[in-house]
Amino acid sequence: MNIENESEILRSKNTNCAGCGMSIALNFIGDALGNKVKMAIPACCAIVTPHSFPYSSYKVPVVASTFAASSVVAAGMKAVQQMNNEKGHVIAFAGDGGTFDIGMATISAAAERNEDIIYVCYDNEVYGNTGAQRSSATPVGAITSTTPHGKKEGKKDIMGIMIQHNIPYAATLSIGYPDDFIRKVKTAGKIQGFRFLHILSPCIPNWKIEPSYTVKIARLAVNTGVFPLYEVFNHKEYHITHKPAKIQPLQEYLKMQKRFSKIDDSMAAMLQGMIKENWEHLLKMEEMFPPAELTAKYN
Amino acid sequence: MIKFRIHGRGGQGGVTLAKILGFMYWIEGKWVQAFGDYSAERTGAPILAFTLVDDVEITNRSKIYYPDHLIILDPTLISDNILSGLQPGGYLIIDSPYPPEHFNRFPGYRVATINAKKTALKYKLGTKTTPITNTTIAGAMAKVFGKDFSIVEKTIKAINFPEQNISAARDAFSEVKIGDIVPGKLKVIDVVMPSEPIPPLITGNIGTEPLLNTGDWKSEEPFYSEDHIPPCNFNCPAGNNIRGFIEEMTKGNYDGALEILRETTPLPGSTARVCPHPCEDFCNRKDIDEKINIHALERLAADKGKVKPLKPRIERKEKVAIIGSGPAGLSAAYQLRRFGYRPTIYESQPEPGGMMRTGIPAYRLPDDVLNAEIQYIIDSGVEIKCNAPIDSKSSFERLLSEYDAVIIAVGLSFGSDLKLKGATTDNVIQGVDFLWKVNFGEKVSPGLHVIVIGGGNTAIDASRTALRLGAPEVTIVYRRSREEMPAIREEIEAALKEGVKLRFLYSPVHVLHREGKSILQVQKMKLGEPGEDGRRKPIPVPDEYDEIEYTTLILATGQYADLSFLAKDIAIENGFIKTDAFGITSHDKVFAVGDVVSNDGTVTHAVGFGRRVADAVHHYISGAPLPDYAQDKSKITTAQQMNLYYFAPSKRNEIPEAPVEKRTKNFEEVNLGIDTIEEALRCLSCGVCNACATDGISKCVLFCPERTIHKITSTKLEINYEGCKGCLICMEVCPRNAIDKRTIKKEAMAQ
Amino acid sequence: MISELCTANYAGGYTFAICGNANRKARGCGTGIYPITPQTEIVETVVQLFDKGKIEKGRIFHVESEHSAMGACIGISVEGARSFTATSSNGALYMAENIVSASLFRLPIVMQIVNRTLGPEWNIWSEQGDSLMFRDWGWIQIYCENNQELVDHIIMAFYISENHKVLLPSMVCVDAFILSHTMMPVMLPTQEEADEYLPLLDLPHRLKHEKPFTIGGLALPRVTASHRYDMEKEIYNVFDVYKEAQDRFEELFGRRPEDPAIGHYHEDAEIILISSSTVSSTVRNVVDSLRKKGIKVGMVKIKMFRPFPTEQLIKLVGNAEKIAVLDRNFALGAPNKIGGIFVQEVFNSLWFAGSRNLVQSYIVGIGGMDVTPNVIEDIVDDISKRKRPESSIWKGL
Repeated sequence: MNIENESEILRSKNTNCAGCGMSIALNFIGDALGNKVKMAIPACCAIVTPHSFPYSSYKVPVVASTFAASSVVAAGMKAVQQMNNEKGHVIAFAGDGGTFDIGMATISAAAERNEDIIYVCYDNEVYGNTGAQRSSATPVGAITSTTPHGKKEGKKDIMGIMIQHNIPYAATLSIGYPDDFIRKVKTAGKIQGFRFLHILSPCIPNWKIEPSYTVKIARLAVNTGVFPLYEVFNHKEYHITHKPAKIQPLQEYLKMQKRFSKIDDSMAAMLQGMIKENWEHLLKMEEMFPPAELTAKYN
Repeated sequence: MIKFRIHGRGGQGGVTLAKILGFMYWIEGKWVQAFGDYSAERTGAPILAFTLVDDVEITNRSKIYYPDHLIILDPTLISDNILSGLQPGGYLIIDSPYPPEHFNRFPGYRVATINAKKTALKYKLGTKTTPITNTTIAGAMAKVFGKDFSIVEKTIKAINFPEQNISAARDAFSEVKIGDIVPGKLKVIDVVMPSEPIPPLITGNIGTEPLLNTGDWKSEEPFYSEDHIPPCNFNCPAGNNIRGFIEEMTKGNYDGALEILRETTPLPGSTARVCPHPCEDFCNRKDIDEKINIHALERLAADKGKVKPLKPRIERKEKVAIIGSGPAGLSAAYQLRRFGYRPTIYESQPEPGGMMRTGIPAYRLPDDVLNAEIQYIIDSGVEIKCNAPIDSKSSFERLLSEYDAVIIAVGLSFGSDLKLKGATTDNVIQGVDFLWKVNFGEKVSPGLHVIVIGGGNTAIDASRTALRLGAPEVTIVYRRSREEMPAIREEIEAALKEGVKLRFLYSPVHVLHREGKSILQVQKMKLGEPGEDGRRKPIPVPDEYDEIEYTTLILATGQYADLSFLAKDIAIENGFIKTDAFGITSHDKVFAVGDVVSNDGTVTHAVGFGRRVADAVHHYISGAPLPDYAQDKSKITTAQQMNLYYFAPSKRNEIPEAPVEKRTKNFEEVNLGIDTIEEALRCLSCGVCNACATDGISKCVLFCPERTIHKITSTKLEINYEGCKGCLICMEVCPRNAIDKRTIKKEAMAQ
Repeated sequence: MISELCTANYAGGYTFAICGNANRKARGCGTGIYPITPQTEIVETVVQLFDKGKIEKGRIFHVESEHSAMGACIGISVEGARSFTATSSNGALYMAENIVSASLFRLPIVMQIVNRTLGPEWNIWSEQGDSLMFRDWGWIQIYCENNQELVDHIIMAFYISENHKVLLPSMVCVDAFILSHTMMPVMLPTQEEADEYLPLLDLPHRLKHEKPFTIGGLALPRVTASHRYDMEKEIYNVFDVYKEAQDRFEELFGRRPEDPAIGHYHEDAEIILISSSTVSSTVRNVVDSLRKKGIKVGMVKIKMFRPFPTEQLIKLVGNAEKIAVLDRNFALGAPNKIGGIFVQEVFNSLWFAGSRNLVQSYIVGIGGMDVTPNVIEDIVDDISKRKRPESSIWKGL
C-alpha cells in the first residue's frame, strides 16, 4: 500500500460526523483506486458530505443521483467513458436504504446486465440521513425511530442476492481490516463487469456509540460473525478472507451499542441464530465452491 | 413577544431545547412557536433554533432576526456576530463553567452561565463526547426568567423525558449564575442578509473546498503522549532509554543509538555482554511471539557505534574523588564529567574495571571491550589512578581533606568463607580469588575434579573458567534447585552445554581426606516455604548424604567488603554502607555507591546507581535540584493497552555462540553477537509513537476519518487540529498506546 | 431527406438513431429504453438500427424501468454524450423523479412522449395529461400534428436543447395511435444531413477528472432560488434558438418548420379555434370547409407549449371576437370549472395583453375519444351563438 497522508477522494473538514465509518471507507477506496474515480451517489449521508453548492468536499466528480438510480446513472457514465476510451472507475456509492430497499430493482438490473461499475454499499443498517428509521438492513433487535422496541425481523441477505446474479465479483469489506479492505477494492478495480462491495459502516449517532469505537466495532462485527469477510468470484469461487480463530461472543458487540439496549433474549437468540446459520452456510459454500484460479489470481 | 434564538451544535439537542422552552411557556398559558432551522446538520455542526412566546396568537412564520435573548450551547460558537440583531439588555445564556463576568465582551447585554455539560454528564444525558444539555439549560432558563421550578418539572413530565432530566434541571436551577448588564458602550451587530452572487450551475466556479471550522466541533483532542513508559525502560537498572536507542537502530544509526545509550551509561558494551537483562523479561512482544533480544542490540550499538569523547558545556573546578573503578565508580565518574567535573578515581588494582576486570572472565567480557570503554571515560576527562589503594583511615582522611566530595565505590571484593570442617588451604579457593588470578594471568591448575559451591554468577564463571583451564570434570553444587539459581539463565545454559555438571539440592557438610584424596560430603536438601527474597528455602533431609571427590574446591557463596578504613561517622549496616537511593551517607561530603551499598551484584545496577550518586554529588556541590527518577508505574504501557494484532509474528534473532568444542579450549568470547538490525525492527515501541515505521503504515494516519494526521519525519507524526473533529479513533487504533486525549478548554476561546 | 411511408414511432426511433449517431465524432450517444404501449416500436426501431450498425458510437441500456431509462440518460448526458429516450403515460409517471432531475441538472436529453391517457382505468388511447404533468420543470415541450413534425422537431430539439444558451431537455409529443401507429409519408433525414445540421455536443458542465465538482448535492434556499431563476431566464432563450434552428433547417433542407404557434385563416377570422397536436389537423380540415361556406372562422395551432409562445399567440388571434380552445386534457378542480390546460395559458396570455376576446373552453378527446370534424363543427356552431363564456364544455358525452 502506498498511502499518502491525505485522502484521494474526501477532503478533510467535511460535514461527516466525527468518527464516521463512511469517511474511513471512502479514504480506503481512494487508497486502493487513486483519484481517477467518478461517483454517482443517491440520497444518503454521502451526498450531504460535500456540503452545499458551489462547494464540494469530494476531490472527485460526483453526481447526486435520485435515490434508486445510482447504479444506472453510474452505468451511463461508465458507458460514455468506455466509448471514448477513457480510463477511470465509476462507483455507485450508496447506503443501505439505496441498496437493500429503494435501489434493489435498479441494482438487480444493473447486475444482470453486468454493467462495468463498482457498486459500493456502505451499510450503516439504518436510514441515517433521515435520523434513524429501520431499513431492511437493520438487524433484529436494533432500536430505530420506527422500531422503538427493537426491530423484529432479521437483516436481508444482500450478498446472497447479489451473488445469485452471477456477477464477477462480490465481497464484504470491513473498515477494521484495512489490508483486506484495500486489497478487495484493488481486486474489484482489476475486474470488469458489475462488482458489488458491501461495507459495514458503523454510524456514531444512530448506533449510539462513542466516536472512537468505529474501527473497534467494525472489527468486532467481523470477529463475532456478525459481518464475515469473504469474496465470491463469478458465483463459483467462495473465499472467506478472514476466519476468526474463535468466533467471539456477541455480548460485547451488543453492549457497546445503545441501539441494542432493548434487545430481549428471543431477539438476541434470533440474531445469534442468524449469525451462526450464515457462518455455517458460508463455510459450506466455500467447501462446495472452493477458491480456485480467480481467487489465486487476485490474492 | 419574547424571542429566543438558540445557537448549538448538531447532536446537542438544541432544537429539542427550543421545543422544551415552548412547552414551559405553553403550560403557563402562552402562545408559543418553536422550531429549528434545519440544514444538513451533522453531529457537531452549528445549528440554530427559535422559540417565540406571546400572549396572543403568533402569525409570523419567518425566522428570527432580532431575538430578545440568546442561548449558547457551545462557547466555541461565540463571536461578535452571534450578537446579530440581539436586542439591548438581552440575555446571553451560555453553557460554561465560568461566571458571567468572564464574558465581558458583550457590553449592553446580560450574561448568565451554567455548567450544563458537566451536569448533563453527571446524570448520564447523552454521550461523553456529546452530552445532551437541553433539559439542564431549561432548568437554568426557568431561574433566569423568574419561573417556578415546578414548571420545568411539569414540562419534562409532559414530554415523557426520563426522570434524570428533572434532576439535571433542578441542579441547573440552583446553580445558574446570573450577571448584571455588562458595563460599557452597547455593542450593536447589524443583521446582514446574504447578497453575494450565486454561481450558475453550468458555468460557475464550482467544486471548491467548503470552508468549515470542523476543528471546533470537538471537546476532546488526541495527542502523542510523551510520558508513556515502555516496560523495558522502566525495568532497566541502569535507567537506559532502551526504546530510544532501538529506535535509532531501526534506522541503522549505530552512532545515534550509542549516543542515546551513552547518556545513561559509559559501559554499554560491557552491560550488553554481562547484564541479566531484566528489560527483556517485561518485553510486551512476548505476548505475540518472543521478546526482543535487547542485549544483542545494545551490543551491536556499542560495538559498531562511534561517539566522540564528552565535551561538557561548562568545566567545574570542584574536586571529586572516587574510590574504586568498578562499574559504579566509573559510572559516577562519567556522569560527574558530564556535569563538568574532572573526578579522580583511586583504584587499588594495577588495572581499572573492578569486578569487570577481576571477576568476569574474558570469554564473557573481553579485555579489549572493557579497555575501550574505560579509555572512552578517560578520554572524556576522568583521571584513574591505579595501584592507589585507599585502605586505611589515614588515606581516607587525606582524600576527605583534599577533595570537595568523596564517593566510595569499592564493591564487594572478598569471598565469604564457608568455614567447612576439614577444608585445607592448598586446594580450596574463593571464587573471586580464583577468577582474579586467571584474569591477571597467574598460572592456575585446578586438577581433574573441580567442585564449585554456589549458584550465582561467580559460581558459573568459576566453573566455566575451570573447564577452560583443562579440568575434565567440573561440578557445581547448589543447595536449591535450578529455578532458584541467581545466575543469569543463559550462563547456566552455556555452562551445561560446555559440560559443567550441576548437582542441585545438595549442601556441603564437611571435607574428608581419604587415600590422599579430598572428598566433599554433601547433604540432600528439599525446598520449603519461600523466604523473604521469594526464593524457596532449602531444608536438610535427614540422613541423606553423598560424597564428591575434588582436586580443587571453589567457594562462591557470597562476597563482602572490608570497610575498616572508613571514618566512624559513616553509618554501616550488616556490612554495607547505609545510604539513600542517591548514595547519600550519614557524612555530608561522603557518598557511597554500588554493591558496597546495595549488593545488587550486576554491572547494570552499579551503572544506574553511579548515575544517581553523581546527581547527589552535583546537588551537594552546586545546589542543583536532585532529579526525580521515580517513575509512575501506571504510565507503563502494558500489552493489554496495545493493539497487538497489527504486528506480524517474527522470530527472535538469537546471538550465535562459538562452538563448544572450540571455545572451552580458550578464553575467546563465547557470544559472537548479531549483525542485523532486524531485531530492532521487531521492537513494538510500546507507548512511544514511531509512526509505525517498523510495521507499515501509520495506523492513526490510515484510520483517521479526516486524514488530518501527517508525517513530519519518518518516525514522527503531527495532528492538524483544524481538521481534527476529535473522534479519537487514532487513540483507539494505535498499536502501541502512544496517543492520549485531553479536554479542550473551550471557554478560553470564548473570552 | 429520403421519402418513407412509416408510423410516427418508426420515424421517431429512426431519427433518434440518426441524430445520436451524428455525435459520433464527439462523445457518442446513448439511451436507456423500456417499453410501454404505445411507445414500444420506437425503442425497437432504435435497437434494430443499432444492431445494423447505424449507431457507431453508442450504448443502449435495456433497463428494468422507466425510472432507470431516464437514469441511464442522465448518466450518459453528464458525461457529455447525446442522450434520448421515449415513454408514455404511466411510464412517464414512473420516470417522473428522473424527468425532473434531467432538467434541474440542465441536461439536453430529448424524449419522445407518446401521449396516452393515465390510468387507472387501463386506457391506452390518446390524451395529453402525461406530458403536461411535466410542464413546470424546465422541459421544452413540442406537440406534433403529423409524423413529419415529429421528425423535424426531434432534429431541432437536439439543436435547441444542446445550445449553450438553453441547455434544457425537450419532450417531443405525439398522440397515441393517431400518430404513433399510423403510417403516412415522411421525409427522413439521411445521416449526412443530420451530421451537417447538428453541431457536436459540447456540454459545458460535463464531469471531468480535472475539475471535480458535485452536481445535484445540497443547496441552501438562496442557491436553489438563484438556479431556478437562471432557468426561468434561459428557457425564454428557446425562442431565439428556435429561429436559428428553423433558419438552418430551411437552409439545409429547403423547407421551413412552422413557428411555435401558427395561424390559418386567422387574420380576418371572427372565430378562432385554438388547438394542438393532431386535433389541429382535423381543425384545419374543418376550417377549410367552413371557409368555403363563407363562415369567418380561423385557427391557431399551439405547437410549443413550453416555453409558451404568448407573443405569437396574441398576434395571431388579433381582434377575433370569439376564441374556442380545444383541450385534449383536463385539470380537475380548476377555477370556474375551466380545466383545459391550454385554455388556462390562453386566458393568462390574453388577460395580460388586455384583450377582451370571448374565450370558451372545450374538452375533447378525453380517454382517446375520437375528435371528428363533426365535433369541431359543433364547437364552431356553439361559439358562434354564444354571448358569454361558461365553464369548460365537454364534448361527446
